[in-house]
Amino acid sequence: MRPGFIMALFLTAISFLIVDGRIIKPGLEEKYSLQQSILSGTNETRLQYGVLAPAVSFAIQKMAGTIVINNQKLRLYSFELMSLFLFGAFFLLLYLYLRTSFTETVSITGLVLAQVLLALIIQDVYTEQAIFNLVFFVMGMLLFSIRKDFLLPLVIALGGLNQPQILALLLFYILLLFAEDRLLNFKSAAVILLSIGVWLLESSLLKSVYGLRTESAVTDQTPVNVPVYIALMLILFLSAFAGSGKSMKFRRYSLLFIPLYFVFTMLVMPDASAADLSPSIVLMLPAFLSMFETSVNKGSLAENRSTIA
Amino acid sequence: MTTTLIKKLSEPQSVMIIVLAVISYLNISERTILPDVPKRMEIQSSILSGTMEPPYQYRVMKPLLGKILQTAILPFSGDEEFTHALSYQLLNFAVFLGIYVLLYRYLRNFFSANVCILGMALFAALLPLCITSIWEEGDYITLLLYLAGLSLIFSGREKYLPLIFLIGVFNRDQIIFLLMFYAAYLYSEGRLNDRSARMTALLSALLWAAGYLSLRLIFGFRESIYTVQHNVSTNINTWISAAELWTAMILVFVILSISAFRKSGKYFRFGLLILIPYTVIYFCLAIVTQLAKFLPAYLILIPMSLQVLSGEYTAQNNEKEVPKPANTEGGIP
Repeated sequence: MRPGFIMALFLTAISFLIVDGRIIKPGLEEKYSLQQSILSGTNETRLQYGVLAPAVSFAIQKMAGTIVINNQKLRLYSFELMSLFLFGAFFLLLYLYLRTSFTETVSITGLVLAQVLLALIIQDVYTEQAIFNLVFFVMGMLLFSIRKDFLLPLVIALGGLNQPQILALLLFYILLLFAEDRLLNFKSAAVILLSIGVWLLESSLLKSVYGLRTESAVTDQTPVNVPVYIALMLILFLSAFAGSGKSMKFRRYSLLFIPLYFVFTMLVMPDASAADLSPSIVLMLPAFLSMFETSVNKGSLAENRSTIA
Repeated sequence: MTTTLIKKLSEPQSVMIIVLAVISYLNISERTILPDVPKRMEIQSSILSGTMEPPYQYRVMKPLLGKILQTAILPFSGDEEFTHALSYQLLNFAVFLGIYVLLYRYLRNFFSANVCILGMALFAALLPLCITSIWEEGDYITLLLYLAGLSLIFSGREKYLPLIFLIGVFNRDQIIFLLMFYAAYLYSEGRLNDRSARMTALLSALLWAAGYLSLRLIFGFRESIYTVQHNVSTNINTWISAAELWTAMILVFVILSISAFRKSGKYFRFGLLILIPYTVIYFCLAIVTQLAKFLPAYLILIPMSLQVLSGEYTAQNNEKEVPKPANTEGGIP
């Protein structure tokens, strides 16, 4: 087994235990009532539009209900399973994405760094939505890297059922096209238009089905963690500062457009938490890791890309 | 001089050290220091007034350092709770900065710069699950002292090693196990019969014993409620959560270490073997879900795992080259 896969498994286990001990077990009741309120369409906040995570946990509950009789345990297992799956998918996709640009050691360093940052910002019961969103972001970035961008509308469609900010992925797709001089291309334009169309359709469907929700979702468990935000800003700055010199065009543009991504996300999700903004980690990570690149490493990049594709 | 400092700080390993130190510090601040400051103040004053139950009573180093910082900060802040939190936050940041700098230096004895950075990141990833109480930062000071000891050993300044034992015993008794790491080093160097090395080891043990006894003479010999029987039965009763935690945190490292065993240098082969008695002792003298106390074991497990992850095995170069100058590539902050 490749060392990166072993590390992805290890980091999945660690992240799962952190979320399980910190959020799922203590907030089980709150999570379940959130799931029920969203599925029944009675949630009064903007979370009503994030139907994907509750639908998945509900589906797991239905399937596992034939084996597990105790309702309390059933709910616990469903949230645990979903979180395990999400972290597994995230680390696996992130590893594959990083491997398209970096050596094994640097890619694993990137994975571990992402986990360390995530462990710091995971704070509240809405973690699944944030991690789902992160998974879709990495999936999108991986698709860009391996030139399977025609699948982007599908990612936007799935991600739109979770959080509206997935549309920001398109911004980085446009940046990539611009960096690679492919912006004025029929195929690319079709992908962009289709993605926007899918997102708009989904967004208006959700709003027409559930009605307009403008209230913010803030619970008692959402701490205002000023040091974390300061640290995040510091990390963003350091990575931008340290990595941008050696980065390729797209990475440099991505760093420059992170503030715009923040603005966009805050527009569509005014109550976004640090975890919701975590795709910025995926965006800045390659630039940060560029610091560790040496000329020797660059030789095998094309090979990595073709292997994964 | 300022230019040199900025240049050094902008090197990848320096950036990584600072980033990881900030993240670790934030983890400890959020989950250990800030949740219950009044309770912590109570614990600190109990230890310093000599009324705390053992073994906490004998761990005076951290509250003493905290008290010194508080005395310096209080005139400026005026608020005791704020001063307490700030003092320990500063202390912890310094401890973690020290840990990452020394961990990097330690790993640089065996690996290239990028692999060392991965090693540091792996250590940072373990921390959140090590946090189990509001008064546990002493375990990180222990780790710092282990790393300081290893830094002395690998840089050929082992004559100062006894000082680490003398200081360390005022923090945690377990610093004595550093002697086993020293033995592993001597074995890898073929110096187990070296007279000066034996003197260093003996002096270290004597100073540790002197510190151990003096603490008990000052505060009195008190019976601890955390007996071997208590710890073993607690560990057995909580085996499910312990198994869960150990599977996630240790199993991967153990598997990787075992697979690297044959290609490892003598130091790591000996080191991995001494972790067997270390784990047995840990099982008897501590609660196994409190993994912060097990962190020194990662000083063997992480480098051994790094060999498999990076393909840089220590067997080929280690026997002849240890101790190797730590700053041969890239520079160290």
